[in-house]
Amino acid sequence: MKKPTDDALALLETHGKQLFALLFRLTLRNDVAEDLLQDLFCKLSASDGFRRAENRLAYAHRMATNLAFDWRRRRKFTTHNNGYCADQASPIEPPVAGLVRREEFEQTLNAISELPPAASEIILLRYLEDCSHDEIARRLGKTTHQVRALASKALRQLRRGLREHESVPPIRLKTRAMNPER
Amino acid sequence: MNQKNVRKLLNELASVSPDAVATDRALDRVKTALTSTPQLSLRAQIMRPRNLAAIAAAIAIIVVLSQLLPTSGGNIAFGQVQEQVAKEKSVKYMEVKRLFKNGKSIDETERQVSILGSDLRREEVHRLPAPPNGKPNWINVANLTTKKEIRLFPNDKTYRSKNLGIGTNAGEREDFRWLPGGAPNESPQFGFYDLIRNVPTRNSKRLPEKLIDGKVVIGFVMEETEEKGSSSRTWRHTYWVDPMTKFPVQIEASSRFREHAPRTGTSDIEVVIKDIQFGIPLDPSLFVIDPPMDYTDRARIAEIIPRESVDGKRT
Repeated sequence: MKKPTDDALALLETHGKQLFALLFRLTLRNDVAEDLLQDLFCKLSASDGFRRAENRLAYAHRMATNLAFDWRRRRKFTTHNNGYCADQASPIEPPVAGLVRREEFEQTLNAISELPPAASEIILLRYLEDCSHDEIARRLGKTTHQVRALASKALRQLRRGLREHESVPPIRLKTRAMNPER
Repeated sequence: MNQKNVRKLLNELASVSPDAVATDRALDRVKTALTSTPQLSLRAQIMRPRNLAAIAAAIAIIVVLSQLLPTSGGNIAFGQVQEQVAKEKSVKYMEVKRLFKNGKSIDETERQVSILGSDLRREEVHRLPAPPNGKPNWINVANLTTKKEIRLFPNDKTYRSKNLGIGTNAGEREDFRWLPGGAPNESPQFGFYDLIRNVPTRNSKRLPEKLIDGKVVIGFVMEETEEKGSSSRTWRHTYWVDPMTKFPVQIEASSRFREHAPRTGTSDIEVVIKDIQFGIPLDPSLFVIDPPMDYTDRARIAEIIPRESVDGKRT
């Protein structure tokens, strides 16, 4: 008899690395990405939605994104309220240049996390996962033309968000309506 | 920050990737977590909201169906009754047998019958009307394995032993294979189980439900006529079965003998088996073939008192 964890284990075998890389890009921390990957697969193994999903990778991808952005929001809230962020002591690159680049990445990711769900997903797929317009269209159930337009619009929204980040660091928390498990 | 810079930043971010060691460690950790995750216990699975809803729905459907459908289990076949009876190793029942000659009752007995296994049978026989002391007129104990039978007479504390002949095993004799109690002068048969198991069910007919001892029972009736020369014998067996337990509650059997030549007349038997209890514990000492210490052998009495003097023809 098939166990509930079998499907999740199969996905781990085929796309575990890809999902871990995604989580790492979105969190910029190995330890957090590890924790989130474990959370992700535990949730997937208990998820009926995952078992029923036609495209399980897309489902897992979306859940991973939500987990990462949730973590980012919680962290931002803690940082802005306490004035201290413990993970800044472990940047992905060595000091100086690394710190500057990391700060830009953090701002970018924070800005992406505050985009509408469809826009953030397109940004992630198109620019961080390097998916083609056709593939994104297939995943989102839209036409390639629509995806191009949405990607362009999402990029504009991101730019606007980054400008806001440069001027006033955002504190507000937004609720994502796209989380398939919530 | 212009669009070009944003794209450049995103491209750089896309090129960020974890090192291989961290990746392997993360994957191992997940694999360990998944393979060592305990499966949900039965209780936990039942308590999941989705499963709870399904269970509640199933119970509701069963309740509704049980209200709508007849409770008599009208779909049971006689074969199921046979299977159910075959599982049992002991049975106790009351058998009332009436013999008729030319339509007139000539003998009526009530037998408390106990059967243990396939070879032990005890009958306590009261000839009706029952005597005031309540003692049985005689008790038959038979053992099919040793092919011995003893008949005890409690009123004068005597007994008679005999060897069982052919006919004790109901399956051996085709002519009374499914006749309860056997023919009037036959050895006691063990065929209660055969009475149910070896019935030719292909000709059985269903009877409408009726109430016996407050239970709704369904009926199966089988009838067979044997023509022999100038006579015929018709067997008719009716089984009243509790559809819930699939056990027979009452069995009615009759044999009608008709001699076509007028000189012999008719001979009929009617048997009713009731108060049937399956699977009850029976004391093996009830089935002992040895005579009790205080009982005298009737054969020895016959030796001591010559038949002639008993008959009064000689002195």
